[in-house]
Amino acid sequence: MIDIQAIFDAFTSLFATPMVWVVAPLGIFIGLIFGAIPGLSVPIAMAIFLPMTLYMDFVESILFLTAIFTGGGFGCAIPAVLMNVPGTSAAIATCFDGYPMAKKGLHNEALGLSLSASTVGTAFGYVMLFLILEPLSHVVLKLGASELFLVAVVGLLLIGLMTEGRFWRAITAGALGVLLALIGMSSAGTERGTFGSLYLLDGVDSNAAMIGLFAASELFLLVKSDYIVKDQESRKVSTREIVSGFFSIRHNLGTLFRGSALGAGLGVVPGLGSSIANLVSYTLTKRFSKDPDSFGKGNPNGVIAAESANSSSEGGSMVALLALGIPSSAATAIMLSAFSMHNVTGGPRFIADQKDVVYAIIAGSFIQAIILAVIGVLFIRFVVYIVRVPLAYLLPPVVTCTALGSYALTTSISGPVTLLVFSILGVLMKRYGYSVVAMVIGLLLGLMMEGNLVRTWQLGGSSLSPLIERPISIGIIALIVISLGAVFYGSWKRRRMGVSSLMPGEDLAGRDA
Amino acid sequence: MNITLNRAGHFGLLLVFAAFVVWFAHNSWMASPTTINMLLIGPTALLALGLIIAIAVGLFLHPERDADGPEEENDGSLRQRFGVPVACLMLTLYILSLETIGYDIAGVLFCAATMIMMGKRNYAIIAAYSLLVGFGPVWILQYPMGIPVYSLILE
Repeated sequence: MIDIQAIFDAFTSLFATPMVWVVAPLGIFIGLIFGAIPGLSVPIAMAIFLPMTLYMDFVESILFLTAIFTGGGFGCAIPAVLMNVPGTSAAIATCFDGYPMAKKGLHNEALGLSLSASTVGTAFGYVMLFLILEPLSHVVLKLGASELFLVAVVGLLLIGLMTEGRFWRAITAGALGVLLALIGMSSAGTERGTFGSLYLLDGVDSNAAMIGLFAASELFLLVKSDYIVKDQESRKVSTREIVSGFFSIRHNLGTLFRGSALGAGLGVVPGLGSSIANLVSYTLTKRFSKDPDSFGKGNPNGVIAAESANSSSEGGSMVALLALGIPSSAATAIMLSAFSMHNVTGGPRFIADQKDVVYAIIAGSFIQAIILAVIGVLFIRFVVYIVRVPLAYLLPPVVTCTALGSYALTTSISGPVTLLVFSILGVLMKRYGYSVVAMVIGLLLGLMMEGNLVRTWQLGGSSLSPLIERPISIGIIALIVISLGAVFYGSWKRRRMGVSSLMPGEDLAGRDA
Repeated sequence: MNITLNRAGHFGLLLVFAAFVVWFAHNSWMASPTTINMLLIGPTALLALGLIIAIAVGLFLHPERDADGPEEENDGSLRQRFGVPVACLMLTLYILSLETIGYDIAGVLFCAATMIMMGKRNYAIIAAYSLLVGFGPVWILQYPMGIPVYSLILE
C-alpha cells in the first residue's frame, strides 16, 4: 500500500538534508570513473568508499552508494562504445551496436543515446521499485533453487539463440564457461582443477576473464590501426551531437520501455541482475525488430535495449535488499554492509516501520538519475576526445590499467595471469566463431547453477524431481522448449531461404557447426 | 581432407578444449566421485565433449568449412601481418614480468615497446609518456586506493 504521508515525509527529509545533494553528485562521479575503467567495477568503488559512509547518516550513506551504483551503470558503457571493451559485464551487449556506431563516426550520438537510456532506465527501475516493492518481494520468495537453476540455463541458451548459425559452437563455449567457473573449492570443500594452487582455490576470477575475453581480441586488432575512428572527418567532438543523441531516444520509446521493464524484472532475481538483463533485452529487441540484420552494425536500438536494461536492473536489485534484507548482487551486498553499519536490518518489518526512509531512498535515487544526465553529458564531452588520441598513446595505458585493475580485484598475480590466458583464448575463439559472450555468461553463472542444482537435488531427496514438479519450474521448462523449437524452425526456414543472421561482431567463416 | 593453416588451428583449438574437459572431469572425479560433486560437472562435461567431437567430425566431413580465416584489411606491412601475434607476445611478457621487475618498470617497458611497435619514433616523448603510464596507475593503486603493489621504484 502506498502511504502518501510517508511520501511527503520522505521528500521533506530529503530536501531538509543538504548533505544528500553533495554526496549524490560525488557518488555519481566516482561511479562514472570506476565504471569507465575496464577491470575496476562498481562493487570495488562501493567497497573502497564504504568506510566514508560511517560519517554519514543512514539515508545519506545509502544514497551515496546508490549514486556510485547509478554512475557506474552508465560509466561502463563508455569504453564499450569507444573501444568495444565493456567496463563491466553489464555493458556486454552495449558493445554490439555501440562500437559499430563509434567506428562509423557516430560516437557522440552513441554515448548521448547510452546516457539517455541509462537515465530513463535508472528512473524507471526506481519507479517500479516504488510501485511494486511489496508485491514483488512475495514473488521473489516463491523462486526456489530449481527455478533459479532453470533461469540460469535460460540465460545460457539465450546466448546460443543469439548466434543462430553457430548455435552449437555457442553452447560449447557456454558449457566450457560453466566448467571453468567450477574450478576451485566447491561449497562441500572439494578442490577441483586447482593444480594445488592457492590462487585457484577461489576459482577463476570472472571479471579478469571477462575483460580478457572481450578486451584482448579488440585491443590486439587495434594494434593494426592508428585511430579508433579511421576517417579523420568523423573524429569530431560535438556537444550538439551528444545532446542530439541524448534526445533522439524519443524515436525508440518501445525499445526503451521494454528494456527498462525487463531490466527491472530480471534485476530482482538474485545472482542475475544487470549481467543477464542487458543480453536478454538485446536478444529480444533484435528478435522482434523488423530489421534484425542491422543489429551488430550500429543499430541505435541495440544500444538502448542494453543500456536501459542494465540501468533499470539497479532498481530491481534493491527489491530483495529492502524487502527481504537479501543482497542480490555484489553491489547490494556492500549496501547491506552499510545497513548493518547503521544498525538497520532490511526486510518486511523495515518497510512497514520506516516507510518514509524507504521512500526517501527511492526518491533520492530517482533524482540521482536526473543528476546523472547532467553530469554524464559533461563527462562524455571530456571522455569522447579519446577518438582523437592516436592508438599508440591510447592502447598502452588501457592495457596497463586493465592488467592493474585485474590485479586490484584479487591483489595477486592470479588476476593479470587470468587476464592473459583469457585474452589469448578470446582471440582464438573469435577467430573460429565461438561466442565469447556465451563463455562469459557460463563463467558468471556456473557456480550459481551448481549451488542451485545441488540444493534441488537435496530438496528432492536425492532426485531432481523438483525441476518437473514445481509449477514455475514447469513453466520455465516449457518456455525453454518452445523457444528452442521456434529458433530451430526459424533457422531451418532461413537456411532454406538462404538468409543469414549472425551474432554481432563474430561474423566469421564456418557458421554451420 | 583440405588441411589449411586455418583449419589446422581450429582442430588445435578443439583439441585444447577436449583436453581441458577430460582433464577437469577426471580431476573432479578423483577429488570426490560423489553425486553432489559431479551433479553439474558430469553432464556439462559430457555435453561439451559431445559437441566438440561433433564439430570436429563436421569439419572433417566438410573440407570447405573454415578453410580460410576471416577476411581482414591488410596492406602487407609487418604491423598488419604480425600485429596480433606480436601484441599477444608483448602482453605475455608484460604479465610474466610484473612480479619479477615490478609493476611500475614492467608498465614503463610495455608502454615504450608498444609505442615503438606502433610506429612512434620520438624517443623523448616515448620515454616521458612511458614513465607516466608505468608509474601513474601503480601510484594510484598504492596510495589513494591503499592496495599493496609490488614495485621496484615506487616502494
